[in-house]
Amino acid sequence: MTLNIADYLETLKPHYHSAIFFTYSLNLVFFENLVLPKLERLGIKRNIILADPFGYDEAIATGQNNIQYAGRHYVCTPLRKQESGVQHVKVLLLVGEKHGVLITGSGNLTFYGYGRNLEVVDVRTLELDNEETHSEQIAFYTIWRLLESLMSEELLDSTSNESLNAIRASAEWITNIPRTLNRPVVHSYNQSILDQIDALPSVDVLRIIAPYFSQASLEEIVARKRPRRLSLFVDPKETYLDLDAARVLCDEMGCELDLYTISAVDKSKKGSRNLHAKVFVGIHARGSWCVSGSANCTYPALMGTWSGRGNLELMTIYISEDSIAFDDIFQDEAIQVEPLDQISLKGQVEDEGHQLSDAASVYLSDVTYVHPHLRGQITTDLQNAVWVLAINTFGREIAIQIDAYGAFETTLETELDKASVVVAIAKDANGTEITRSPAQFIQQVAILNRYGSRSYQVRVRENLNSFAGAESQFRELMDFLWKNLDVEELSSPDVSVSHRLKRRGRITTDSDEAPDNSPPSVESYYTDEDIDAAIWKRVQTLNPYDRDTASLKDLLSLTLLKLAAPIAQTAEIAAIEGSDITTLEIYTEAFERQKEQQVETFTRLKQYIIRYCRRYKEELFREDRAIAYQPFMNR
Amino acid sequence: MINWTSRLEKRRIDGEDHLGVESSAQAYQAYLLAGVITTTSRVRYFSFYAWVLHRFLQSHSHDLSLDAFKIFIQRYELTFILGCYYHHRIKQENILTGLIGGGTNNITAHNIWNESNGQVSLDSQYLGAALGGLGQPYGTVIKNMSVMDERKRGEIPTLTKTIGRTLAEAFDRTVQGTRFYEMVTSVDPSPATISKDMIEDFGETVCLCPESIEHGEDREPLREMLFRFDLAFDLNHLYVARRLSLGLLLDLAYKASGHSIMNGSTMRRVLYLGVYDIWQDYTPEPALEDWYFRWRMVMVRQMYTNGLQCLFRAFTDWVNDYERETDATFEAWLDEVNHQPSMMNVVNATLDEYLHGLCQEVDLNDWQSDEFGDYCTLQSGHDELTLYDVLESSERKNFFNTEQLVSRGLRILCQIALRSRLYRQNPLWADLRTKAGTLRLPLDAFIDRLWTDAESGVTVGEFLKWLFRDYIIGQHEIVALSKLRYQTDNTFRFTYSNGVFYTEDANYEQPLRYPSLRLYNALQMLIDVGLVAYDDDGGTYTSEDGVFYRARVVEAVQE
Repeated sequence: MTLNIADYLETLKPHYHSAIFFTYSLNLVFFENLVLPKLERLGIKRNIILADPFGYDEAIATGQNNIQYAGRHYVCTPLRKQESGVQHVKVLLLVGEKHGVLITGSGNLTFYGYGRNLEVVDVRTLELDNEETHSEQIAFYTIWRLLESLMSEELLDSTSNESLNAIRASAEWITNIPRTLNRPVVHSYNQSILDQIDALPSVDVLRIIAPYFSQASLEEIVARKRPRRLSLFVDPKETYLDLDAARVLCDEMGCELDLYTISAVDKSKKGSRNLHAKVFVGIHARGSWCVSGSANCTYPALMGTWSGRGNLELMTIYISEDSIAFDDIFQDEAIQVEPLDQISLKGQVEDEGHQLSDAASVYLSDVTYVHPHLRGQITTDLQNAVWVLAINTFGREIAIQIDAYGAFETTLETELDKASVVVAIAKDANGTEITRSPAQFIQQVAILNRYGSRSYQVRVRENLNSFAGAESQFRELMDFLWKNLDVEELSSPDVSVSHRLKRRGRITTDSDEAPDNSPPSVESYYTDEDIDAAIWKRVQTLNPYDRDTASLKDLLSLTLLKLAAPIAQTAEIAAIEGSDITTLEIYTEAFERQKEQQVETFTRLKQYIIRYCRRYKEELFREDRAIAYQPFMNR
Repeated sequence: MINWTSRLEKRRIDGEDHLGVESSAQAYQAYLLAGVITTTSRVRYFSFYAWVLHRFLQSHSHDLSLDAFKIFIQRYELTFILGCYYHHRIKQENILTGLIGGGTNNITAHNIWNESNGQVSLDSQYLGAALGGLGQPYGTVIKNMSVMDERKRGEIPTLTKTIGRTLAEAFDRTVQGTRFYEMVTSVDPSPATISKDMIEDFGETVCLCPESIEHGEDREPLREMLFRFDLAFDLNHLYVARRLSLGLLLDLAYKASGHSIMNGSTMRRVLYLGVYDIWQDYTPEPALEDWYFRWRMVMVRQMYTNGLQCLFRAFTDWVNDYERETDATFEAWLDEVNHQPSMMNVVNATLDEYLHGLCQEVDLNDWQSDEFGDYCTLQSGHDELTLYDVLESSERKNFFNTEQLVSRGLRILCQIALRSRLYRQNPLWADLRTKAGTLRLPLDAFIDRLWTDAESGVTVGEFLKWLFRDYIIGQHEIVALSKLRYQTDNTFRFTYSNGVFYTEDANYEQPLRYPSLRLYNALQMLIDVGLVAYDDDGGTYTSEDGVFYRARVVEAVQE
């Protein structure tokens, strides 16, 4: 079974106010286009991305001029570390007042990590009102404790700290100490992954899926788990494994070595799907276990700790009394597993080639902006340098003074109106550049706060941008109607149907007569140009956000308008966007695509409405409701 | 529980405009020529569809459902298509263009015609879209011409009382006397089968071509629909804007002196350089100068698109090259560019030196002068149109390389900036930005950056690095992600992961071609209604009526 995180987010209800990401590599243009809109639709107001400096720097280098919302709609912070080792955890944590979703896995917050590579993902959900889900709280608590550790070690900037404090204040459940001692999620903040899974039983068969292997960690895990058979699942094109050394190891340890390739079944589609999943499955006579997540089979991943010289990794653990409980992973219809006899694999590496870079001797951190004040911190050993700031959205450098602790404050004449990155440059007395810091996003605190308190209408606007969003909006409104069913009004014997409809704004005429259901006359099909143009112009020019969303009726109408929007217009836009409007075929293709989407949405909504009606019917037959409805039903 | 992840994209399509830059010129053209798109160039469809709807309303009042209308319109449309096909078949003229549902070279019409004996079934499938050509592609434009509008989803359209009904009644008068008309008014309003003779007779009268329209009662209402002289002069009104664009076309034809403005090169030269050829300039009527400037901006934006297209093609060709020995990193790409023989000197030069060199080639000494356009003419052989045309024809011969693409692309972009120095002084320069909505890669931003970098001593190599990173690679990513978001389609030509670019389709070649210009389609409409015509040598000229209409447009502006 496969899961796509971006699609999964579409299925969630708007129970969440905050999202926290951990990632190694990072593509913020991808995040802003494919993930952030879905979070906005969920009503999420606080977004924090904690990235490894490698990903953070790369995101800035490759996309800084196309990134629009960093520091304005979300906080993005690098987790820098003085010793070797990287922030390698991949997590998405959604937090609400009473709900939580925890998505862990091997995929980074990039196009490849979310939708192209072969990755594994694990989803856990928690609802305070649903006791069956309470056992998952330990997983949420573990992540929260990790965040608190990072905060207490002052590894996060002040904006991230403030956002996390705000999240804690609005979701106190996340800090509650769970009763269970079982830990389904482990991380390597101050204890290695291997040490934490030491308690798992030794195995007969150990299966490992990973793109990266190191001899030391392979030796260690084999020594600890004592498998009689070791099966490695790799992608021969992109695997780092010293095969000869692995063979020698298995000979020495008396276990058999099997090699398999894993590839995607849909490889006929264009664009490669590299194996990036990391899964360890142990099988023994009394059951099996599965450990999966971010850690490769390498020394810094499995045996190191963040507080030492290793990586920060996070893995989820499943334990079963069934020996074949995790066979599905290897038999999934999405993948193809084949034995691998002879391979030419790349040489051994310690990890994904991301040791701490010592190129920079200057770091800039905690850069915040509340117009016109720009504040920040420079970490440097340089003495007597002249400092300037270069902001990518400004045309000139800004001279600054730093105090004895490296802190600076300056004012900007022009207000920042887009995401901006800043670099600190040290110069000598002649104005010659000595060195410069890596670039840093400016956290635009006032804008972030405004975004955090934005209205419901932003979410509505985002929903009305697509059929899928309109579908979700429709369901939400119908559910809202359901919850707010006015039994008292329905049961009042003094109020006629038309009066009630009028009170709710559904009928605006003064007449209480039933609506005329006879077909319109032929003459009504000849319309006045002026009225027609006025209506057309209004619909075309009004932004959904600007339309009157004050009443539920209008909102529902807007949603239905979107769902029932004529495709011809949008097809033309699609054709223009695709620009190849020289042929009818392309034009028609765009039209057909939109039509298909609309039909799919309608099919789903049809099922939804059928369920809705059934639910309504059941409600009517509830005894307490029946009593309430009685006067109304008797008429 | 543990799950494998699936692909994000639902399907792969090739798409075009991978940098999303062409759409703003298209959106601006939608303002300049409302109701004309590149797939709708035959004006008689407007009166024909109005008539079909009118006939349906008059004859089918017992069942005005959409389903009934679908059958009705299909039968009438097939009669119409076959009639038009036959009309040109017997005349043995060139294939009739713009026939919806006829397929390439009217092959569908040809097959249906040949497979039928004496009788033709009007229930033959000829077009996939519901409501035939009225669904796509005329569905939107017929509303933009104020002929019809949608009533509700799932219901038949409505006909506007003045324009729509007038067209319908004029068409009705035109076809009175045909045998098909006799049949649908007296025998069966929606016949399933008719004879070929009846189609031939109908085609003679209703064909889309100017020769048939000349004898039709609907020609005059069609002209009025296009020009809308009933509306007061107000530039915010789309129909007035269209009137002015059509007036400009009449002016272009009026002054063509034997040149064919239907010819792509000529039209582009007139709009971009102000000449029909090296011997003949074009000067618009004073009343149309502003409108001419607006269309020039469309061409400027299109040339800018072409310059970027060259760079995009160069980069994608390189990523697609499987024989390349190195990983496709950005650094490796820059290395490739910088080591092209003719680029080695260029990339180390400053932008200031480079721009100076471009001006010197056309005998202009100061690159900060406003006179670049006066020097870099068609005659100089260095103008952007000529530079691009050479590449375009090289592509047809499959004969160009990274060096040519990068050096010409850069040169085209820089020359557009030099030429636009004068245009930017015109207040109308901002009009495209205002009317076209969100502009991707605004030309102003490019020009400002070029001037700033040239004045700061930045080298061509550094400028190219910025250009490729932000305008080509970064822009493609954001456009493809946007399409993935809204259409769930994968249109990536390459993707990026951990510092390396990967091709999505090694066989794909970004075509080099001019974006579409709706003026050609509007010109065809003017030819259809007899305001513009061809002389014996293929030159375009304004008919007597065309001269009168041109004068009316100019007069309305002056008033």
